[in-house]
Amino acid sequence: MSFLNPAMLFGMTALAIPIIVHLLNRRRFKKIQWAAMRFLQVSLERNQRRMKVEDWILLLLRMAIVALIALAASRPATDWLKSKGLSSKVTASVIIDSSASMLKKDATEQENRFSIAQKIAGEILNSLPKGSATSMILGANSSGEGIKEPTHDTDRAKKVIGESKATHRGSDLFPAIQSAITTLQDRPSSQKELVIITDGEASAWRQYEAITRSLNQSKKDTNAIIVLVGKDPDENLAITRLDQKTPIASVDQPVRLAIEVTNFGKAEANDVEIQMSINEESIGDPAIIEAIPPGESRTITTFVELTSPGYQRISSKLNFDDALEIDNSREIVIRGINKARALLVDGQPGRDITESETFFLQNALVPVPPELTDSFFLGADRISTGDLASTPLDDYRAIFLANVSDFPEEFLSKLINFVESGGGLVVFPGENINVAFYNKTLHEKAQLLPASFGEVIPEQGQENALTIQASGYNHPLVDLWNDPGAGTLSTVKTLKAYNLSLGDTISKNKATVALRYNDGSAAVVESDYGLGKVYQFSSTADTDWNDLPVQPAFLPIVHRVFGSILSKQDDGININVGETFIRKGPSSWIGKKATISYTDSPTASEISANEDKNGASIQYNGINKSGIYSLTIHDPFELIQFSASGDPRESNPEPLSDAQKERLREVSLKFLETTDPLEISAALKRERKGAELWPVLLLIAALITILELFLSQKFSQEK
Amino acid sequence: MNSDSIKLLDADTLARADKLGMAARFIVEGYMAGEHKSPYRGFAIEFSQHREYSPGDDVRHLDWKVLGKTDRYYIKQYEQETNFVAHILVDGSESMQYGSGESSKLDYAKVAAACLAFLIIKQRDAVSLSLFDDSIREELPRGNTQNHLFNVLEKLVQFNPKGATDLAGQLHALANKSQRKGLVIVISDFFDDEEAVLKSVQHLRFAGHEVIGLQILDHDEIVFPFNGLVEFEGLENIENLKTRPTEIRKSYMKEFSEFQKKLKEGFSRNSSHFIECDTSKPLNDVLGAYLTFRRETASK
Repeated sequence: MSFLNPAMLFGMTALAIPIIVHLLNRRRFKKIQWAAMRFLQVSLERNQRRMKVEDWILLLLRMAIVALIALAASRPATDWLKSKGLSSKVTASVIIDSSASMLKKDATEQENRFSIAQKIAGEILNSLPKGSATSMILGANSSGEGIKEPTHDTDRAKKVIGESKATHRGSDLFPAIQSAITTLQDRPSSQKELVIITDGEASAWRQYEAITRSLNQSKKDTNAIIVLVGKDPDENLAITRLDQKTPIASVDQPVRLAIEVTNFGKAEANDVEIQMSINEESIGDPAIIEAIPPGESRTITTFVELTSPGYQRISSKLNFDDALEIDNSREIVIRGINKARALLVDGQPGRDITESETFFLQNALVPVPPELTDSFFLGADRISTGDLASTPLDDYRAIFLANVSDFPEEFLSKLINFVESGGGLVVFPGENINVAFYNKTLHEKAQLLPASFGEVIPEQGQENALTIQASGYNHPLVDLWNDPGAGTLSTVKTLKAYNLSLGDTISKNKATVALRYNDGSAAVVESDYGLGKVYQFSSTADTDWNDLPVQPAFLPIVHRVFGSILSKQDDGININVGETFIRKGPSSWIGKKATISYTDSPTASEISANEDKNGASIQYNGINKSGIYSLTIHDPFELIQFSASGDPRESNPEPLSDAQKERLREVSLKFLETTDPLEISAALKRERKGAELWPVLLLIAALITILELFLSQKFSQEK
Repeated sequence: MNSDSIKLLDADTLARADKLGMAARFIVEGYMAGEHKSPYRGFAIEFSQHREYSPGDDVRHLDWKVLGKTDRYYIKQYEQETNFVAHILVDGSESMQYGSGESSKLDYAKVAAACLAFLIIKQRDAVSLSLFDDSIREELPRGNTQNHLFNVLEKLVQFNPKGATDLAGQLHALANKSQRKGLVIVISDFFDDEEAVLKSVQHLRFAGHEVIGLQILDHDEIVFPFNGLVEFEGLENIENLKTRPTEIRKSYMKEFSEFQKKLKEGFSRNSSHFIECDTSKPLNDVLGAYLTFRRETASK
C-alpha cells in the first residue's frame, strides 16, 4: 500500500471532529426547569441503554466517514491490485527525439534509432493503465508535431507515433521538455510521467543545465523517465559545410566552392572521396582528402562550371558508408547568370578617360581587354549625369553614382522603383555632390540612402591618412580578408572622406556598417531597400580622395558589391533545416497561390504570398528534411529552387558525459540505456503506483453517510 | 384588598364566574338540600354588629331603627352559618412552579382557588383554605364573609412554594382533622405517589367528604413538545436529566397517560371527581367544569 498524496493522511486528525462535536453538543443542552420528572426518569431508565448504543453507533459511523474521506484524499494505492493488472491512471507525455541523429543505425541494431524509439513509445503506451492519457511530442528543434494535449485515445496516440518520421532537423530537447512539463503541470493526475526517448548525444542536450533544472523542479509531481537508445558509433564522416565562394556565379565561369568534411569517428579516415555533381550529374573525378584525423575537419576547394543560367543544384557526396547516411551529402542551390550589366553615372567625366570619376570602377567591373568585354559575364556602361533622364534602366542590375551632384525628381522616382524591384544602387561621394540633396532628398525623404553625409574629414597628409580596419571583418562583403592569405585592406589610405551618419534619421531599412576606418567611423554602409540593395561609400570612386581604386582589394570589393546585389534577390535560398524559408517578391505576388515541394516528392504544400514591407513575401516553416526544394509560383509562372542543409552538430556522436548521466539519474525516476521496449515497459510498471482505492473508499463513505443519515433519522424518531 | 389580590380576580374571569355562579347557585343549594337544611330556612342568621353604611352596601341591610333614632345610616352585619363547607387545598410544592408560558401552574391554581372561593362564598357557602407542600404552610378556617374571601385571596397571593409535595399526607391530615363533612377541592398537579394519593382520597371519602381533584397541568407536560438536546432541571430536588426528548416522547407519553388513567380511575372508584386543567386553556372552562360537576351531582 502506498499513498499518492500522503500529506492528506494528516486529515486523519479530523477524526477528532465528531468527538469534539459530540462534546460540544453536550454544552449545547437547552436547560428547562421541569416538574414532571418522574415520567422522564422512568422513560430514560427504560431507554438509556438503547440511546447510548445508538449514540455510539452514530459516533463510530461519523468517525468512519471522516476517516474514509481523509484516507481517500491521501489517495492510497495498493500494489496487490497492481499484480492483478490494475494500476492508477497515468498522464504521460512522451517526447521522441526526431532529430537527424536519430536516423543513425547503430551497428548492433537492425533498425535506426528513431524506429527503435517508436517501438519503445508504443510499448510504453501499451503498458499504461486503462484510462490513462498521453501526449506525444516530436522533440526535434522547433518541431511542434505530435499530440500536444494528453489524450485518452491510446489508439490515436499509437497511430501518430507509428506515422511520425524523423526529421533532418537539429535537436534541442529543452523546448519539448519545457512544453511537456507545462502540459503535465496543468493536469490533475497524481501520476505524471515524462518519458524522453533520445539517443543520448550531447548535441540534443545543449541546454543541459536548463533541462536538469526543469526536471528537478518538476520532480515532486512528475516522474521523468529518460531512455537512451543510441550507442556510440565507431565512425561517422560528414560533410559539414558546402559554401559558394565566388561572389557571382556566371555561366561558363568557374564557381569556387569550399567543402568541409569532418571525421566524427574514432579512427583516422583516409582517402576520403568527395564527388561533386550539378543537377544530379556527376562532374569530374572525386576530390580526395588523404587523411582526416578523428575529431578534425578538412576543407577543400573545388570548382564547378555552370552550363546554363538559373537555379542549379550543386551536390557534394562522400563515397563512404557509415552510421548516418544523410550527412554524407550536402547540397546547395546556386543561381547562374549569363551576363549582368552595371550603369556607371559619372559626375566628373574629366578631359581624359583616365581622369573620369568612373574609370577605376569600370575597369574593376570588367577587368578584361576590350576584345573580351563582350564575352565577359559583367558589363559596365558609363554615362554622364545629363544622360540620366533619357537612359532606360531595364538592362541594368546596378547603378553606380560616382561624384554625381544631384538629379531631377523624375529620375529619383525611376531610381526608387529600380531599387525596390531588386536593383542595386552604389553611391560614391566626391567634390561635386550636393550634400543637401543627398541628405534631404535621398536619405531623409526617400530613405533610399542608409546614411547621411556629415562633415568632410579634412584632407590629411599621407602620413596622417585614414586607414581601413585591419581585422574583424564581419560583413560578408569583406569577410574574405579574414583570411591573411587574401591580403589586407589596412594598406588602403584615405585622405578625405565624408562622415557617414546612421543614427540621426529614421530609416525604414536597417543600415549596416560593412567596413570601418581604423578610427571606428563608417567607410561603407549598406542596407536593403525593397528587393534591392544600396551601398554608400564615404570616399570617392577614383583616387582623388583615397588610393583604394589602385589597391588589389578594389576589384574583389567591387565584384562583391555587385555580387551581393545580384544575389540579394536570392537571399535565403540556402538555409538550414528547421529554419523558415522566406522569399520576397513584387507586390503582384500578394494573394497568389504557390506550391513548395521537396525533391522527388509527389506531394506539394500549397501556400500563398502575403503583403510585406515594399512588396510581398512567401514564408514556409515546414522544412524538416535536408535537400532541394522547389517553390513554384503559378501566375505568372516562376520556379525558384532552394536548399536546406542539416545541422552539422547532429553528425557529432559525442555522448553525454558520465557526470551528466549521473545528474540525469538524480533528477529522473528512471534512467535507462536500453533498446528493449519490454524491459523499459516492465521497469515503468514496477515504478507505477497500484490501483487507487479512493473511489472505493469514497463509495463506502457515501454508503456509510447514507446509513448514518438513515439511522440518525430512525434513532431520533419518537419512541 | 391589595393590588395582588385584585389580580387574582380578573374582570373577565369574575364576570364569567358570576354568570356561571348565578346558574350554579340554585344547583348548589338544591344539591346540598338533600343532605342539609335549606340554607335560608335552616340557617341561623344572628346579628353580629353595626357598621357605617358605605355606598354599594345593600340597602336591605340598613338598620331603619337606628336611622329613625339617630338619623345615621348603619348597616346590620350578621354572622351567617352554613352547613356546606368547601375545603380548598392548594398544592404549593416546587413542581407547581413550572410554567411554559408567562404564568406557572401555581399561578393558575391560585386563580382557580380564588375563583372557586369567590363563587362558593357568593353562594353563601363556607370556604376553608389550606396551602401546602410537604406540610401545611398556610391555613384559613372556614368562613363565608367577604372579609374571609379577602383573607383567602391575601393568603393565596402571599404564598410562595418551598419544598417537595406530600399531597397524600395532607389529605390524610385533613380527613383526620375535619369533623364537618364538606367538599374537598384539591388543586394540585398530583405529581406524587398516585397510590398514596388515591388512598388519601379514599380516606376523605370515608370521612364523608366530597372530593374534587383539580389537576393543574402545563400544556407542555401534556404534549411533551421538546426537541433537540435538553437538560431537564428537576424542581423538587430531583437530579437533572439530559436527554433528546424526541427519542423518549412516546415513552413519556405512555407513562404520563398511565399515571393519568390511574388517577382518573382512582377518583372514579372513590366516587370523586377528577378534572384535568390545562394551563393553556381559560380558567372559566375549569369553573364551567366544576359547576357542571355540581349540576351533575345535584341531579343525582
